[in-house]
Amino acid sequence: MGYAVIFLAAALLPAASGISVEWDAAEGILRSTPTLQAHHPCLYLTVQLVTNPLVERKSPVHDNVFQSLQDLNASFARFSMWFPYPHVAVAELDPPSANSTSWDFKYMDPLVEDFMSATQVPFKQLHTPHPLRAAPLS
Amino acid sequence: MNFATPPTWMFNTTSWSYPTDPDDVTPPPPPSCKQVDWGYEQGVNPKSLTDLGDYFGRLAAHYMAGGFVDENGVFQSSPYHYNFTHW
Repeated sequence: MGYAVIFLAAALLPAASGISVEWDAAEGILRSTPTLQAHHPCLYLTVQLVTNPLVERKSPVHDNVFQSLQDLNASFARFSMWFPYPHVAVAELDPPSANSTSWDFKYMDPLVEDFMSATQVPFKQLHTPHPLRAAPLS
Repeated sequence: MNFATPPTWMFNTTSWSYPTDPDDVTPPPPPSCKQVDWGYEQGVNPKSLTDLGDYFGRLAAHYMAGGFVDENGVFQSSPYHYNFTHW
């Protein structure tokens, strides 16, 4: 929908304002990295995992989900705690009182642990265009 | 890491309801799930950006620094010292 509006606006611009669009003129090179909620066979493999009941430890597909996430070996992996599951996404569901707080991580911690275990492969995810060099000590 | 949901009580709303029982039984499958609440986010502006920042600071400390000092001065420890390279 958004692209349709942009293209329609661009098509109407010459008639409306006298501005012409030069689609072949390169102003710069796009260096963004696409991120999807599934794997994507591009230069940088990126993935986003979103909290939902199927990634809980009690889920019958939990083990397969996180094994697949590890096997994917994504260049960038993102974990998103979104709002429809407040007990998972929010660690303090009520404001503090004078003598107590509601901090509770019991639903959030297992998901973070499993995500980090599946994505923290030492140095395996690190991709740089040039070799890294350590700074001189002196 | 994208902890995308701030507490609703930190916003300009008098209601910050959430499911009382996180384990839902309806619909039946999957066998256990967190009760969905599409209306959790309410309010527009945070009451205090400082409090909001403190919340995420404590959340970060829980996972990256082995714990945090809560609003009442109590240290709440955690076993985590993760290195979140991007927040």
